[in-house]
Amino acid sequence: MSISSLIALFSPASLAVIAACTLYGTFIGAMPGLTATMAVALLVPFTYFMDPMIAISAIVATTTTAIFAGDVPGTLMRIPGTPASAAYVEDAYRLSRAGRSRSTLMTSLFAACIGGLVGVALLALIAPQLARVAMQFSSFETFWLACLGLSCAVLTSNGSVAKSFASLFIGLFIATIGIGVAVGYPRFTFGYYELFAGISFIPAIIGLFALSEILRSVQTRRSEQPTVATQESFSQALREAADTLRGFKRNIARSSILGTLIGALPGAGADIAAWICYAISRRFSSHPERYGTGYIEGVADGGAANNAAIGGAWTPALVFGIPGDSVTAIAIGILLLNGMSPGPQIFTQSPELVHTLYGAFALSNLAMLPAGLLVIMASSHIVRIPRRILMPIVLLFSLVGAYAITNSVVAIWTVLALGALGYVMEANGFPLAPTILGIVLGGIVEDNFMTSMLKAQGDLLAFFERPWAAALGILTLLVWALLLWRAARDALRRRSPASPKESHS
Amino acid sequence: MSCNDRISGCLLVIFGALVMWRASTFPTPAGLTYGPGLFPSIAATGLMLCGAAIGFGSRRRATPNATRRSTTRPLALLTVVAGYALLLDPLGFHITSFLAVAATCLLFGMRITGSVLLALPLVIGVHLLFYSLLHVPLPWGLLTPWAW
Repeated sequence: MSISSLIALFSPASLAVIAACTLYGTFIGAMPGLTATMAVALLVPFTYFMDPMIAISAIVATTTTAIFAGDVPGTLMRIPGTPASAAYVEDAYRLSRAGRSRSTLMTSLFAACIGGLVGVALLALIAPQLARVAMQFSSFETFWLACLGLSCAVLTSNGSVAKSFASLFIGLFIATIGIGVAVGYPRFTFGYYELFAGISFIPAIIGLFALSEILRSVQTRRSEQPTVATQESFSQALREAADTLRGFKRNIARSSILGTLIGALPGAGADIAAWICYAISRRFSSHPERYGTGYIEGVADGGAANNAAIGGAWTPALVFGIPGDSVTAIAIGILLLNGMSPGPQIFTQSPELVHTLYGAFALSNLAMLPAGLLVIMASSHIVRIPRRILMPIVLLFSLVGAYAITNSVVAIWTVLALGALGYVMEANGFPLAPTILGIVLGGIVEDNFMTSMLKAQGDLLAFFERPWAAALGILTLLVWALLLWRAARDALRRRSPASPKESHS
Repeated sequence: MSCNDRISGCLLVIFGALVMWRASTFPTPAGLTYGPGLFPSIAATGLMLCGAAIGFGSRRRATPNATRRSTTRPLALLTVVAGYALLLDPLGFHITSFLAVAATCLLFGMRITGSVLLALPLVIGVHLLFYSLLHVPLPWGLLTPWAW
């Protein structure tokens, strides 16, 4: 690591931001109903006013801790704070009912810290190697990579194939609003000058992830208060968690590595890593029958996996400029706003940014330990903060944060429109992640397509002429074929009257 | 606001068709094979195909538990946000934010005193954070004579 990035990382401003974001991420993650993505969406307006290095540290620290803290409401109330905690929520909740909430959360905290450190170590090892390959990529390869990222977002989302695709196309449509990148023609602006630059990215994500969440929460009745069972003392919980860690060393190592690799796949994020590692853990466990009944082994695996995946998700983002999940999609949007385009050249042009990113990961995983212990000891009070106080605060920060980016009320209309859209989409089973990836990658896909076609003078076969382009193109087409096959299978299954699911609905 | 898959499918098809129609009017510059209308057309085609698949592929009925509360409250909140956008410039940041936060508190079931007690310090805090610290030019509106 270079001296300059060390100085940047350990400057008072940077340390203060990391400390503040660690606390902020822990708090938001620990609130039921506030997700890690929402934490980042609300943070983004502030990062806009920061140095890019500090902005990246802020995002990294927030996501790292928010993903861990999502376990808090999951354990105490069976409401996962972030989707990444859903895989093992049943086990964690039952352990908490048995009076072991603190040791469960501490196990998950330490596993998360180890997973996060392994994740960033692997990222630092793999990313520069991949970047060397990616240096040879031209617009043809980038086009296919972006297509692949979009397709994987559909492949890994949990909605039906048709709905995930629809969500993706909505995002792609939003990305086309404004002056076309290649030819400079205003599209879907209806003469509004404010729309010429396109839909502003930050108000869009605030609408999709923050306002839609507030809308959903105003609709539901007051949530029941958690009835917290007796909790262990601090030292007893610490001892138990240490015992668990020692017992499941190999699980944590396996899930940390596997979680990083899964996170590195475009489109697959922390939640998928947690699900897969939980399933694998069960498969190889000596007590598979105890999973889901309040058994700590799966919690250790899932807790390590989802935090490891955060580091992994930055691999495609840094190397190819293709985000691995919605959080890195937001981060890429911020880098683009700051005039930096992620991609292999970032390793040679601004290595200090990459090194700062690694350092911020390591620091925030360590800073997570005290912050996490604090939240664990106060957890029963934090989950009790009523929504009716929290949501108006979130709303004002959403609106003012969006306004701060553009200094015009157009941002607020954008928040309104995309918030309503996101709310209606989620209520009808449309996943949101493909939309945000569509918004971020839509411009990249179109830009590289147009550039390629200018080079090849409209010959589509040029997309398969270079070896890497051909390989990536064929891979993308295979993913599309797989998706179509899955869609057809879904449709057939739904049509068949013997389907047991259908007869109940 | 969950509705029948038939309806959401139809809406997607109609929306896709509208996008397609607009995109077909975009001129392709001379010498280029693909113009600004290509990507909107791809998105529109995708929306129509998905809309058709969702609309015809499903026989899910509308969820019966859609109570009045589940539609009116989100709509009321959207009205608050729209009001915020309309009033921000004429009334200024402080008054509008105070009203918006208080209205949201009431929507979430807080009493009037509670709403005011939350809204007042919140507006001051956001003013200090965004206006004083980040130097965002928040509009003063009616309070302009007292601006600092």
